[in-house]
Amino acid sequence: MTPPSAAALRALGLRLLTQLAVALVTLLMAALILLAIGVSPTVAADAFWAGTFGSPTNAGTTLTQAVPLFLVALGWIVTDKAGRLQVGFPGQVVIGGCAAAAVGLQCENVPAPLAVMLCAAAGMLGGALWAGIVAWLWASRGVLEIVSSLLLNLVAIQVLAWLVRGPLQGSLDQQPQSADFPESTRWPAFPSVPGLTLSYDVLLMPVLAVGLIVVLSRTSFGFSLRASGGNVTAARWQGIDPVRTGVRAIALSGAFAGLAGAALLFAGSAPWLSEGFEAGIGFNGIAVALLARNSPVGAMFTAVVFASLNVGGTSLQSLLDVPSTLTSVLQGAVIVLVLVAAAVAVRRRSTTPPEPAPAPAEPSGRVTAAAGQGA
Amino acid sequence: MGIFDVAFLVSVLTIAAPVLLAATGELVSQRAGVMNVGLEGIMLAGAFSAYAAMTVTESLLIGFLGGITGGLVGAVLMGALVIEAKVDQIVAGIAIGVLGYGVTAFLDQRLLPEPHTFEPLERLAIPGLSAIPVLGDVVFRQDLFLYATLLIVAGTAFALYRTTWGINLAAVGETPVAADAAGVSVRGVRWAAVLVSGAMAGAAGAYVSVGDVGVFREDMTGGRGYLAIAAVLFGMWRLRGVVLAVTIFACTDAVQLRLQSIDAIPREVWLVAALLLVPVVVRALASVRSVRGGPLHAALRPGPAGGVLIVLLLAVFAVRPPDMSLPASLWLAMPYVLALVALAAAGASRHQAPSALTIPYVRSEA
Repeated sequence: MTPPSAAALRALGLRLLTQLAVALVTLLMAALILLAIGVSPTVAADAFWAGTFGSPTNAGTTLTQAVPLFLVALGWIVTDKAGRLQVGFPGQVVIGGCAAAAVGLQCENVPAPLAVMLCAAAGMLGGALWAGIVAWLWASRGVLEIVSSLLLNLVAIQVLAWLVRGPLQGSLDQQPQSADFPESTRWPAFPSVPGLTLSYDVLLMPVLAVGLIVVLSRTSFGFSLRASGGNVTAARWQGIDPVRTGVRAIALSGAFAGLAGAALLFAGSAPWLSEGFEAGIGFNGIAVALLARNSPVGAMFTAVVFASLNVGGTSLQSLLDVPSTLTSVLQGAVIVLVLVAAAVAVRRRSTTPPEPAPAPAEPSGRVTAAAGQGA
Repeated sequence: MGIFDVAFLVSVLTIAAPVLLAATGELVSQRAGVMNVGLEGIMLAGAFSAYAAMTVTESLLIGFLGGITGGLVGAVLMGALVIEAKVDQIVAGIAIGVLGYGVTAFLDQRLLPEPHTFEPLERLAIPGLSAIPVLGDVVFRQDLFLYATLLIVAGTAFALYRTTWGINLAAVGETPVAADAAGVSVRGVRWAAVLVSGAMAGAAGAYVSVGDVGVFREDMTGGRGYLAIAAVLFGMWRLRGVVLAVTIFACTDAVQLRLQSIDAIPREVWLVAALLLVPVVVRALASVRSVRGGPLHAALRPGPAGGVLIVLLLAVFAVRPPDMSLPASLWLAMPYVLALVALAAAGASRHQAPSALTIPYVRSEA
């Protein structure tokens, strides 16, 4: 590894600075909204801190909730690097979770480590297959992946609604939810944290972040991924099939989302399948990746930020009667601010000529590439 | 007529109207090269601001104006992001979707915690025409929103295909460079298109909340925005196609509503499903035939062959309906599945998409 140049350091500093600015503006907005509804921001901040990191138990919950967000963010990063734009994460999380639950409910007498592995594998397979529909429609029928994935999200929600009322319905009081998962399938938690809220799957975050970086920068698969996301013609000249690479990228990102679904169910506090277990993870995971400027390491931190917004929003609701949908408002605002900050940064860069830094994502060519392959 | 009676046709129109209006707006925006994926959030904004305006004024007119204003606010944000800041259109759309859900749910919980219920729009019988049997009951005894939607769709058809503005719009969506060189303001036309789509989506949202049921609930548009976007794509960026697509979606939805109370799927449903699939299969056959071999050769390829088999199966079911029912939630997924099938079948004609769709226009000064 060569030491980073001064220009690279400056660029990194600028990135951190813009992210800090985004965070500050969001905090300011939150304070203003709280003032507008008559809640003192300092009281709210205290309640927020107590709910998120104030005790080991709550900190465990926050970190555990960050994992699914982070996994979805990785899925987004993979497809983004390959130049594909699938946004079917909510659906893939749901279907992955359903597959994992279907397997987990059968794992009554399976030893714990094997059961956990089986559930995780089922989740990844479910997510990858659901994403595979998107990939197939794009590769062989030329359907824009954004549209098919949005529609499949809506289908997945109905599939879940049917499963928890039909085949997987298992609660004793006829609620639309499955039976409790067997103890052997629950993902283990750190015994030192009271309440066992910190699941071992937190370790997935650094492992997968580093793993993805290595795969993207050091393997031929990673190279073909980045090449197809860059210049499609150049990729073809290198002997890379952008369509095949795109299909693989979409399936891989679906697997990440499916694993997120399994993590939500088996490492969460509610060990059963119910409607709405997805809880906005799919779209918020995209925001997590955007906020980290598509860096896997950065996504670890932004996932924790988003998870603490969720957890803290809930504690604000219970302690101070602040509507928990405040979280959605702030999350939406964060995405908009990040987009604007990125646009401003690109414009600044183009007005200062000496640094021909590569633009983060080249949106042009996406549609034409898909059209060329679809015909 | 079994389940396809007058009430069924009326419910088709009621379901179709808001989706059609939103889809028409989306069509205008997409023909100018802006894919407004935030349509769902914009419809929610319209639904909520209409409800809020109604709560204050109790006037349906102000309610709808409020809805349009709410839609315009969402559209201004969309325009500022994609036309001025030139960020990725699809990501911006997702942001507006999240924001639309969050802001409306937050304000609803905070400002209007007690649910209000309003009288929905009353149905107007057009004198004379409403006396026609069946047709009169279905078409000429509807609420004002439906008539307005039909007028707006007709007006949009005229504007898109018969005016200079419509030609400019298409030029901006196809080759913005050429349009710019010809003296058309790409920025201006795109702004106008985005605002039009925002106003229409806002009005459609207003109909969903105060016009049709008279209340607001969190996330009450329930995917209608995405359905409208799908209709534009399925309709191949032509208004005729959009109207057809919305009609098909609305029929599926209406069937689902009717079937919730029936045990087994009646034969009419199988028959109609088979009839609906025929054009799709014929189109798939036609697109394959042009590659090589005759229609027989085409029919043997896996995709079309599967389509032919499904149509035959549905026809058999129509003659001898099996004792089978589909759970309500899977019926609810039908319009989306149908849209996916339609998009897949239409795959070959994708080149009709505006060439500059989703591509920001950066004027090169050099």
